[in-house]
Amino acid sequence: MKDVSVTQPQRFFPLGLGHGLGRAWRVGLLMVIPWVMPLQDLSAQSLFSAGGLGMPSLVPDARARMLGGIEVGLPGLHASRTDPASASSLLLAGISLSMESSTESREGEETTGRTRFPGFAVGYPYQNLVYSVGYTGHLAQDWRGINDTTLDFGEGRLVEARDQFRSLGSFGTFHAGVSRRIGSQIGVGANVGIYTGALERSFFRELNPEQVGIGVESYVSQGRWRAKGLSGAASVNWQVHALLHLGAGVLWSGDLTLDPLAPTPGEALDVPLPLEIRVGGVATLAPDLRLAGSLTRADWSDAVQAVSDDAAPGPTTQWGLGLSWDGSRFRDRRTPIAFGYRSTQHPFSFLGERVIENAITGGVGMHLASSEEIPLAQVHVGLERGTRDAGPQSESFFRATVTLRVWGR
Amino acid sequence: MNRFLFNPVRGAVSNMIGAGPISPPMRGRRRPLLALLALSVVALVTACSDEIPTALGPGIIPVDATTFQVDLPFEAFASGARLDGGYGVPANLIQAFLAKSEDGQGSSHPLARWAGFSPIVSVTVGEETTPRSDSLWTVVGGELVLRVDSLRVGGTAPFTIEAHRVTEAYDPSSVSWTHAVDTLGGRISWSAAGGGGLISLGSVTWDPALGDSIRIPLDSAVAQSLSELGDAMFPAVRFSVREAGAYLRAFEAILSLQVRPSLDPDSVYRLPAFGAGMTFIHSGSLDPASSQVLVAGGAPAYRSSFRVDLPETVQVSGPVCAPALTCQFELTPERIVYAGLRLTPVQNPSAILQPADTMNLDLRPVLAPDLLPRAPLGVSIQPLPRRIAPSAFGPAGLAAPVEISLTRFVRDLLEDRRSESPQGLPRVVSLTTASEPSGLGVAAFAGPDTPQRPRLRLILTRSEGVSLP
Repeated sequence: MKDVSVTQPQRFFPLGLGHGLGRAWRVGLLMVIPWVMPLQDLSAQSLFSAGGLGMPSLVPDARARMLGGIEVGLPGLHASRTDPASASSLLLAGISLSMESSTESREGEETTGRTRFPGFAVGYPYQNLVYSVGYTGHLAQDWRGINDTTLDFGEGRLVEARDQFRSLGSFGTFHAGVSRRIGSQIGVGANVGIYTGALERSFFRELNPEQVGIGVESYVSQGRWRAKGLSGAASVNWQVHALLHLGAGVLWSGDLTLDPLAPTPGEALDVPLPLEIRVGGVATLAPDLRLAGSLTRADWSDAVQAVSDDAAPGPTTQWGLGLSWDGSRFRDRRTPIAFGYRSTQHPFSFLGERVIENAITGGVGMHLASSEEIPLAQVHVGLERGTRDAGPQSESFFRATVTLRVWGR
Repeated sequence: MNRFLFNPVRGAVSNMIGAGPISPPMRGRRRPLLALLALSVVALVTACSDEIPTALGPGIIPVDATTFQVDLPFEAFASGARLDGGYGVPANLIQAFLAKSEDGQGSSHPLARWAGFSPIVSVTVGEETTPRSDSLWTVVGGELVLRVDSLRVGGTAPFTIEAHRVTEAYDPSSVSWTHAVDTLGGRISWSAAGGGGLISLGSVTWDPALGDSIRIPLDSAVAQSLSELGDAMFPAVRFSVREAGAYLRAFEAILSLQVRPSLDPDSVYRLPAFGAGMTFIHSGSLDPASSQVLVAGGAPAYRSSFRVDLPETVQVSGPVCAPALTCQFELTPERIVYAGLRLTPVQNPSAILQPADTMNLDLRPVLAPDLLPRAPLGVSIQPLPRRIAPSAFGPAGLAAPVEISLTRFVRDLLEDRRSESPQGLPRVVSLTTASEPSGLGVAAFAGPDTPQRPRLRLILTRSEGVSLP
């Protein structure tokens, strides 16, 4: 075991490190900027997100994802929206950012892919408390449907047409939290958040100009809605034993209100989001070998009723397991490796079928910089390979998540 | 002492999965930072990719749209049709038309005029190397040359081409079949329609196979008479073709004298006229009061204008009305995906104005209808001029209507009507050619008072709109 040997917490990370790292931090901040700038859509996309409000996002952290999507009880999961207590062990102020690239493919169709920035968080210890703010994607819905058809205008006049429906939407949460240690073994934390984001749905019908005439225009019907709502989360981390770390948390959300933006007609839609309950933990099986697991349960019945998704399951479960080996090193740097498995029930159906997502996960991490005994910069790369199934529909996906953590712990 | 010091539990936790402390401290920091920088650059580059998952087929699209077509007769969407003429100057065209209608009743005649002849001939006598000027020359003959497009010839060759000297002064920019001068400052009619008093200069038979120059020799007396015209009366010639159905395009007329200078009386010199200009006059005309046709084109050009008043609703039938058989359907801008003005070509009432070239039709808003026929026009309603082959106006093409798109115009009108603060967009439009004048031909279409009157073809789409899931 190693001890942390810091005389006092630093006030603010660019100023007070006092180890000759000021320039390095500034360089690091400059490198962080491009990661922050394009924050827009905050989750992986899939055609299976077409149902309801879309597809929930996993915790945006490569370490959590490579271990099977552990969302609570993972030490070092700083300033997580689902586990605010995890920031209680923070010694120095810091920031973490994640980027993910994902692809998905369905049989007979082209593979699609994109890069997104699913979240960031900033933590700042002050006196006995650790304050944190962050942004985390929650639900996302980017997909498109295309249908080619032939219209009959009578008298044998047929015109080719292409219908296209496009949904672009993501809902995320700005959250601010506080956490602290209670004794040496327990960390508690809570945060509050506000939902933000928008959903834009568009329908286009294009007629073949060669069959109609120059000057034909597309029929366009569009709607835009802005999301708003409140959320809150609380969690506790407990070092039960030197070899066992447990965590539990709840995530409460009020109604997610979708307000139509002019000139979109209609009334606002209130979707009651569920209370999500999470438990998880990490057990040390042997020196440098650890087992992580988590379970998430939520009842989406009210939400699916609000969006008239009769085929949705209602209560959903996500569980995951992961093994990590921390003994590997590369050029004197610790390079932990991990693999795991995750199974997720999606809250909304796809074409009337329930959606199940299963994935094999894995990844590697590396300490990029450290001072004394404190890791200052880490990067983790989490990989997920899996399938989403909804009755006869199926797609495979691959997702790589990179998390950069410039964090004094 | 810090509360985290010497905490064995935290030490154990922080070791996990790279979360814990490491050694060696401070070593090799630069290289990882460079790696981080490279990673950031990669992040920027790859962030640009964005492909939306796409499903093919009807099942996933949650919008049910219906598209159908409606035809509105002229009286249902327009009113106040009028015909105006006199736009543009034929002399501005690069060609003049030499034609005679199929029925032999109408004709078009190039009018060529020159500023005069040089009074001096440059003469080189014998072995001399420096030319000398000679003003004492004698006319022994002359030649008129009319250069035509020998590849685009209408009618049956050979053609008999006649030239007549125009004896009355005219204004090339306003001359017409009936008037030698037609300006605001003064209007002077020909003594006889078609060029006034004319004196024959000769004729020739020409076949396109012979080349593009129609040469009419002038005898010495005729040539002498042309050379003696003073400053008040320039030499001017009107060309004619005798055969019905002939249609020639002339682009240059050359007049030259054959003279024998006093310094070299044994030689004949060619003395060309200078300051040539050419226009054309034709006998075709249209009745401005006629509502039997809508026309565009000609030189000077004709336009047809009418006011567009779209109805609030149109009566439709079919699935869009289900469960009813018919219903009234409101016209809104977003429902219009296409609007086309359907015109039925007809033979021009004046045979000489029957198009022989492709017509490029345009539809433009009239910005100040009260000022018609001199109202300014706005930019074209359609993205490109509507090209119509001349065959569309022939006997074989008369049954097939042609269509001019005005989708954007109709949408704008409906949008303006719906707006709480309408801009008062122009509602009167003019059917014109893309350039005025464009040529001799005038496109004629069945007018508002005919069974084949113009129609507005609308393609409409209706859906319940996009809604939340």
